[in-house]
Amino acid sequence: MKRILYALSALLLFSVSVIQAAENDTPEARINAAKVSIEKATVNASNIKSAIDDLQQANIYLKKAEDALASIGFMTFGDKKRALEKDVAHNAQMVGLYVSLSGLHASKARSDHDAEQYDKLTLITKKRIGIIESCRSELSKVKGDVAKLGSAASELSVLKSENSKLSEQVSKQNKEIIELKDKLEQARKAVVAPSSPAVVPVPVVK
Amino acid sequence: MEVLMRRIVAVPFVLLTLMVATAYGAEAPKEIQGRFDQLSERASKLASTKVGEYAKDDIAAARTSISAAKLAQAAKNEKLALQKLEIAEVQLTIAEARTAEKEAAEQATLKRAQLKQQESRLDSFFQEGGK
Repeated sequence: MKRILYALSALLLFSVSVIQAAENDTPEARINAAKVSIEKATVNASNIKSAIDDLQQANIYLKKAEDALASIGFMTFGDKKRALEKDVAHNAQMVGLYVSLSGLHASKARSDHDAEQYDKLTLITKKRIGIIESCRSELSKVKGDVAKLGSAASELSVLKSENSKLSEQVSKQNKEIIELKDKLEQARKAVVAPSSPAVVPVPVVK
Repeated sequence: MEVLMRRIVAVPFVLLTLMVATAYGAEAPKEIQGRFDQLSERASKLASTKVGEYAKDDIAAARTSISAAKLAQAAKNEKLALQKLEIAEVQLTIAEARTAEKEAAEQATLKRAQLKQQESRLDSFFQEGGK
């Protein structure tokens, strides 16, 4: 009993799938599928001219398929009906091919656009890098100058300190000179005043 | 007499009609043959270029359509032959378009990589700061 039930279920499923396959293969189904594919491709084509041109071709074939289908009337049988169904199938296939072509053209146009954008951005980035590099080189130059200035400043400070030492020495020596001069004067006076007018040679301090 | 005259006039007319029909009948296969040759040559040329590498399947499909057209022609089914040739023509155009699309995609990928390289260089400058 169970086996019979299994067999019947399997037969039912098989019949359903065969009917569905047959329904998908009808001229009407082919035309509907072609229409849907054109609608989807139209969204994808957006403003891309080559893709839109392809879809115009697809629409021409869709019209041919619809005309062929319209020619199949209730009284159309045999070879004539089969020929018209083949026409529908051929034109639906042509729709499919032009839809594929449209997709490829749209995709290529997008890739071209992307490449163009990447090129522009690369150029901008390169310019930025150039600016940064030139700033860096300027900065390094300034740093070098600052380092030079730093060493010059330290040299100046050393010189200043030496100058100050020398000034001190000079002023000290000046004082000593003045003192020596005073002493000399006093000595001269002491020598001249008591007796002999004889001139004693005095060493000149320079 | 009148009937005889009518027949005399009718005979050349019928002969002329037959000649035109024969000429037309001979012209159609010649036209199809021309398209066979043209499409076969186009398929071969494309197969020897980058298209043969990038759109191998499309070229194979086009060649299958050309073969189907030849079979239809051999079976005196000119309409089917023409339909198959029509399909083959678009399939070859698809092969070219697929190649162009793949090349464009490759170019875009290359340009993107170049941009990334420059951007990472720029980033490294910012990360290094004023060093």
